[in-house]
Amino acid sequence: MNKIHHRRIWQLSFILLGLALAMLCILYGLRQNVNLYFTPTQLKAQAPGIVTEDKTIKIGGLVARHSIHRALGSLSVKFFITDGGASYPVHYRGVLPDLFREGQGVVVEGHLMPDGLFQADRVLAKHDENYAPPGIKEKINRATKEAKHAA
Amino acid sequence: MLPEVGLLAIIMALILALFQGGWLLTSSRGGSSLNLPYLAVGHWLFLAMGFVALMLSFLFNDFSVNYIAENSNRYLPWYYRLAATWGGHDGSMLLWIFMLGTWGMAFLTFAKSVPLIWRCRTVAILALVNVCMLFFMLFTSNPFQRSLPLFPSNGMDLNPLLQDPGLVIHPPILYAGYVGSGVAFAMAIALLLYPDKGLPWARWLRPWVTSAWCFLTLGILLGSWWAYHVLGWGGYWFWDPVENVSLLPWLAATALLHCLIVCDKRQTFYSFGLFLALVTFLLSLLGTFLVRSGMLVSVHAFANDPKRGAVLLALLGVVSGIALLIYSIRGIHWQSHSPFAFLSRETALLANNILLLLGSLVLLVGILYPMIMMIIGHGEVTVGPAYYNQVFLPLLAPFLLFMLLAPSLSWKNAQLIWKSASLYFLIAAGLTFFISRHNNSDVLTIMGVLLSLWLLFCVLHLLVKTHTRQLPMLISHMGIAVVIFSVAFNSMSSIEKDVALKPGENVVVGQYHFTFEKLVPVDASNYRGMKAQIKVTENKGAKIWRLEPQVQRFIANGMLKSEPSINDNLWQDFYVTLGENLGNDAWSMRIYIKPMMNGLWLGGLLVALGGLLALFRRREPELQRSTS
Repeated sequence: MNKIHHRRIWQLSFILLGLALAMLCILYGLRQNVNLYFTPTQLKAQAPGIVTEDKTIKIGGLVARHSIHRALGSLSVKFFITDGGASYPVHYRGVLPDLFREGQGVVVEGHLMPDGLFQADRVLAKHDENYAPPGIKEKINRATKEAKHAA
Repeated sequence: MLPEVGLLAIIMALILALFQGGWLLTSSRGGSSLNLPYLAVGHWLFLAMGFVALMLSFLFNDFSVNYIAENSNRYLPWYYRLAATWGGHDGSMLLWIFMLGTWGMAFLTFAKSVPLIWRCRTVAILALVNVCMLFFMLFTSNPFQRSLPLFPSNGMDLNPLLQDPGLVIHPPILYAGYVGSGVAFAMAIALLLYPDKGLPWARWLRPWVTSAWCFLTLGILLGSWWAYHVLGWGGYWFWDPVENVSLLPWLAATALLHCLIVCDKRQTFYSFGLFLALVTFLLSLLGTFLVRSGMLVSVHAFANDPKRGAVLLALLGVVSGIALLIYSIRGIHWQSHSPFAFLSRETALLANNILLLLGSLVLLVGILYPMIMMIIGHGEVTVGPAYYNQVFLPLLAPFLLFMLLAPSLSWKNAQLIWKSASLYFLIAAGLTFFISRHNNSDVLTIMGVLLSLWLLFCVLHLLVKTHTRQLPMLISHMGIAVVIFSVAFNSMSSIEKDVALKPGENVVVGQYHFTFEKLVPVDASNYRGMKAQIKVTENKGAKIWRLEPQVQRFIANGMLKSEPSINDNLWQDFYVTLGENLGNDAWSMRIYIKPMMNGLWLGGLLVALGGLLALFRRREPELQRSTS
């Protein structure tokens, strides 16, 4: 153990300590600020436990066919978001993205009300019309397969 | 015919790149029979040939090529057809590879002060990186793949959102920045393989890192400008993974840029400088690959083949593994221990480099966390802007403080401008109080306004007082101050409102009346649409601004796109996005009033301009090496 070794060990432990401290702060910040992301089926399975009214969550799914309702001349819109399995009613007030339409993959961000209505603060559709939110494609494939088996 | 020529050229380029690798192996064992400059020129010429072949195929509408059929269309104007070359995955990989070759070529030709052997080593290592990329492209995403004998008579069209002048130049410039950091990477590897402490390598690298950094700055700025002008959400930065991923190498490159100054002038921090050179390029690779892999949950993400993603990440793993392994074995030769005072420019620069790396770490964790959670089966999460606002932005406070200090500290020992600095602080504090009184603001934005103003005054002070050598640096720093001030001020006092309007109706937003006058149909070569004519008037006063937001339906694929309309009166933008017909003649619209947006763009340009000026600055005579 010469002087350089000593010095290196000190430097290294100093760097590691700093890194650990930084990671701790980062993970703390992360813990408070992640938004949970669900497909409607996952949400139905987990909702009672995890999701409360004051928690911002995201749901990814498709806009259900024939489900878009809007009061004539008003900004309020209601539609169902689905993944072939479960579906949730969504209420939103504002301008919808360009690619929003029936059958299109969207992600809604907002709060789940106690009565099961999802109050959306933001509705996102991707730039790409072939886009399906994560987990949705597989789920729809599975759902159609199951439906075929049942038939 | 043309696509085959292109493919052949790319294969030739790959072979020549392999030969360059061979040169690297043989030359270290005393002389090689291969002539590297010839190989490098050939490599670059073949890459250029391949790239031009793809561009021409786009221009001539060769829809038998899969990639062209997927990304172009007969009715697309010719300039968008050319730009569609990099509109999808395969073509942007080719662009990336071509850029890497071009940087290598430029380094070989123009870096006259670097001894030929070091130029050759650097270029050969760049070629080896290109070998990996070429293999990847040829086997998983060959842009020249044909679908003969049955092929479509017309293409599926370029994604309408990409049909914008901003996006025509955004990818090449951003990629030029990403790939440009490869020069520093390759030279760092070469220096680690053949250590020689006496070389002025930091001086050699500075202009190359600076130019890559300029491209990166411009690329990010353009991306942000594009998002603001095209997406219609009134935002310029969404803390979206795809955006963050481009900020990562920028932060690292900024750190590298400053570290190289210390390496050059003080002959210290060598080991750290080499580390940063490696990290910057690896983060650039990470950026390209993550975006291309389709593993990011992002609003900008395009549907992608996940199999490619796995290969890309494996490739990234291999390249970074090798690079960091070489560093961990050889980096020790580059340790340097020049003493410097506690209150000196070195300390301030080192502190800021650490803050920049810390910022990168924060971004990286935010980007990777959702992917890691998904892989270990902990459910899906997304990391929102709140995380970045709470963890990343506070880092800016100490960062700005050191930015204030560093230029006024001399090398090695302290010599401050405390008196004037404290005077400026008082002025900045007064102004901040005045500004934030009228607006709803939180601690973070107030800090932002205060510190950026303070920095701005100090920089202006130095601009007047010091000699011109520091001009580029001061301009860039001024740009940063202007950007941060604009962002903070903008977030304090932006107004956003969703409304439903019928023709003839008006709505009051802030101090302005927005009147929806009438709706006009629009007819263009590749889309049809509607245009709303909107008049903006002041509460009192006769000034009038006009806005014409559109909705467009693209003929080729029926995609809808709304084109926001923006009118600026220097200090604030009026921004309207047209939504949809709500029935009863009413249309949904989103109205924004966004102050200081011009300040933001101007600040960003100043940052890049500083870099540009630094490139054309006269080099100071080399320091006597014996004195160090």
